[in-house]
Amino acid sequence: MALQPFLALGVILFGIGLYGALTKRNLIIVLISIEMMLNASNINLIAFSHFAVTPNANGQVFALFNIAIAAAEVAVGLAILLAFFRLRNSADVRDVNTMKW
Amino acid sequence: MLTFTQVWNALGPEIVLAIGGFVAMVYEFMVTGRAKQATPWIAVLSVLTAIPLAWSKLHAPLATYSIAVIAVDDFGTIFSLFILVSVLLVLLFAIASQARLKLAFEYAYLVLFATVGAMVICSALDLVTLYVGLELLSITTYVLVALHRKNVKSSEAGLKYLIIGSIASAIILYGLSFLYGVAGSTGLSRIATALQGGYGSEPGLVYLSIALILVGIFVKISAAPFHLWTADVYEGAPTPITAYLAVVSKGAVLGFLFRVIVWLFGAKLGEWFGLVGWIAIITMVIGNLGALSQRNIKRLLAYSSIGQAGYLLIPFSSLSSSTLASVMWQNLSSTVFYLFAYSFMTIGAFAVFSVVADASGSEDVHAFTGLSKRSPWLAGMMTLFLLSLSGLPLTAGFFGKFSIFLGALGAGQIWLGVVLFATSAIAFYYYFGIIRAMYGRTQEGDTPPVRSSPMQHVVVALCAIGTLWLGIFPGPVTDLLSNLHWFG
Amino acid sequence: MAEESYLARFLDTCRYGGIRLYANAFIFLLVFLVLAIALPIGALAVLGPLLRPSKPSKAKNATYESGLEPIGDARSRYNVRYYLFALMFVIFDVEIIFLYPWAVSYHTLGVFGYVEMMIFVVLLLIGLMYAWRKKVLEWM
Repeated sequence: MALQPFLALGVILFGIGLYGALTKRNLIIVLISIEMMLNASNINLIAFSHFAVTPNANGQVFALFNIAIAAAEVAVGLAILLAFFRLRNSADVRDVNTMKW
Repeated sequence: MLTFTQVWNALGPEIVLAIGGFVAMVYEFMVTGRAKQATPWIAVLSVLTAIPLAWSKLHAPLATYSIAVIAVDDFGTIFSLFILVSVLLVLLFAIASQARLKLAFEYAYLVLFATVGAMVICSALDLVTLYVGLELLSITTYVLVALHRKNVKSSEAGLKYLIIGSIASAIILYGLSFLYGVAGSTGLSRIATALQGGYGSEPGLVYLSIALILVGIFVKISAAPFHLWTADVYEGAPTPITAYLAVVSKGAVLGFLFRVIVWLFGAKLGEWFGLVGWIAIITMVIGNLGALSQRNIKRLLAYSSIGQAGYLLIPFSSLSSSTLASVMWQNLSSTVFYLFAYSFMTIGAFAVFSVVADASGSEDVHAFTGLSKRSPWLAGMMTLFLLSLSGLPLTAGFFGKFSIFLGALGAGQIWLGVVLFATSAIAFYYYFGIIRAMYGRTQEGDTPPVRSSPMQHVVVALCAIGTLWLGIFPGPVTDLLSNLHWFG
Repeated sequence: MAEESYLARFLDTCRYGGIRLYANAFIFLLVFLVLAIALPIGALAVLGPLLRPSKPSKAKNATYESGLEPIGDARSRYNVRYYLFALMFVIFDVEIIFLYPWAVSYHTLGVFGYVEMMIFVVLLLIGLMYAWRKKVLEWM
């Protein structure tokens, strides 16, 4: 196996994630898309770690930290989303509209 | 092998803040009732302990203190000092407005944890440490913004900040992963070696990586055209937290920008800093023009802080003009000086705003009508902060802007200097709107008297002293800055 | 022991028994796979409709809910408290990933690593105590 397919997978995941995060209306889907972007980086890191000229574990350690950080991020995201949902009874991006300009 | 002494020497202030944060946390959930009021004071105490520790690290010999992932150089230390001083002011500000705001006491230690993240990203030497610090700062501030759970604006602001901030973090992380791929190491010095003063063996990937990192950082410091979240988030967040975002978050991410880009791409700066100069121009223009149409003072200050981000990007752009170390140190000192000035005047302006907005129950510019009669002291202080923000002489803002302007001229970037002056004139116009409201004639005589606590006056006075001191006697600070060994 | 040696012998046969036996092992797998897919489809979708009488009624077409009358929509909302527990679980579950690398290199890291990890675990414990004191763990 070569490095390129993994990088391609990473780019595709990152692209889908960015598209989803910027266009989807449901805030849960937006959070999932952000997770996809983070996982694209993890795939990059692990692939680079394996295919490096001198393979080392740095990338894998980085990926472990990213997994923990991503979990914290999504936990905070869901918590804030719950607080918002209790106030507005909606999880739609279009309802995040109290403040404008 | 690491020892505890090495870790303490490298991370002393951060460790003190983290311990203080956890002590405050345990205290907050163990006690009930009025005893909870003491929680923020534990946080203040740990910041007061951390400041001398950080101060003693200035001019520290590089080799004996640094560990693999954290540098102890004057660049990191002076940014840490800026962050600590600002956090102290923000904490006092939050304590002062607690009676009215009724923040959950969690804010005290969340602010400390965010501060640890902010200090780490200014002195990290490893991509993993950098990213963990950045996320510690970001995730904690998402919670802080949404701290008013029962308030729609606060929750919405938190949600917006979370989504935009997470996307920016993910973009930065994607860029960092390519840096790791090109260099085969996460250590910044190893990466710099692998890039060989240029772009290394894979220039395409490195270009992509710099572009991604820059975009993420521009989102985080709210540079135009990535600024759209700023006004909403600043408006919705509790006012002390808004001050924290505007000062500490922005300053720390600026430190990240300098650390990563200057450290890694020092030899190729010129190719990218032209772009940064354009971003600075767009940011100054959009920030200050956007503020013109705002009636809500919090949003006005938010747009003004976008403009300030533009000013702060100018020295970064001027670094490119020469490979002389002295030019770089000159521009770094003017950045740090302006950051200190920005901290005092912004926190001060938000503190006065918070008192006035609470008194009249409105965040509109009309809340300031006739303030000079209701509270001459507060009106005078607000005038001082606004004049400093717009950069009039005898204030910290003037001296900071002046040294930034000199740096831009020295770099031959006349246009940046011209836009700096033009946008400052615009800024003066909209700040003058507030000053006119405060000193102008009042129609109805029944404007409510301003109730304020002694604590609020202390915060305002501290900020005013800082603003005046940096404006009238900038000598000691500029001497200190010019004697620093920035990167060891 | 007997099972192990059998497994070892089987693996040896697969490895060294030549390409034919190697291929044969996968042909068995293929046959099982085809059977496993074909039998249920044949029984439920082809033979069943041919053999059984077709007399639909309202009660027969209703959703089966353990013999009770079905109420409401199948897409019901979960109680929000589940989310709190799920959030707690996710955080503590993910933090465990730091313990595995530490456990693997326990001897090389020595006392420094041990103390660091204990600090980490104590911090997690403080987090758990926070959740406990804030009554997150109670199902009120």
